[in-house]
Amino acid sequence: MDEARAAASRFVNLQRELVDLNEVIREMMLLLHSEATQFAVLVRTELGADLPQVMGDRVQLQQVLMS
Amino acid sequence: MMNSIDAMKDLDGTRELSIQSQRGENGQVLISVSDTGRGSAATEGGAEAGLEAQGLAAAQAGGLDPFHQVEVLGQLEIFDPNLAVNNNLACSYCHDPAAGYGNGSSVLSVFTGGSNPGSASITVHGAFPNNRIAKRSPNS
Repeated sequence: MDEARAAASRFVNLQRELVDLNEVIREMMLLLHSEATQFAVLVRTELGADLPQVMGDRVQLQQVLMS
Repeated sequence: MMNSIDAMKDLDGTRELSIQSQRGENGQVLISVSDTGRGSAATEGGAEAGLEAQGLAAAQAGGLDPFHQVEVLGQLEIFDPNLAVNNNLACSYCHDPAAGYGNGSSVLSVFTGGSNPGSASITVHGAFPNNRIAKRSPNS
């Protein structure tokens, strides 16, 4: 029950802002750079140049990409 | 991205993590993350392809009574992307038979626009197991 409440509150406290998703992708790549290097993983990107910004919670979006 | 790296840690051969972002229809943004790692046993070449093939074979064979015709129809419908508003998303995209009709997808999509421009709903891969279905809905 507590777990459910905590999960629900994560959604209630969403901070909405305009987010550049390419920027989020680049940030997460930077964070995971050493992990990728350690396991010899090649990271390849094809980021669209003309993406619209999206309304969303930056931190939640970062977490999604990160995982 | 962590899941991808995890899946490739012990892999012999190419370890490649590929991230794509592109503009979709109706002001959507589509992000896909793919890797050269192995999937889980449950999702690899598994139940989905089998179920769909089974349904197609039964439909083509014909000679079914009305009850089983409806059953086969239902079996095929969840794999049909044409049932989505934009003809691009099958129910099974999220409701994966291999994952107990839960979320078995490793593709992340961020949608904006549609009937509610400026809002974002997120297709989450495993991040919020208790809320995976409740907070998401297909485009409508």
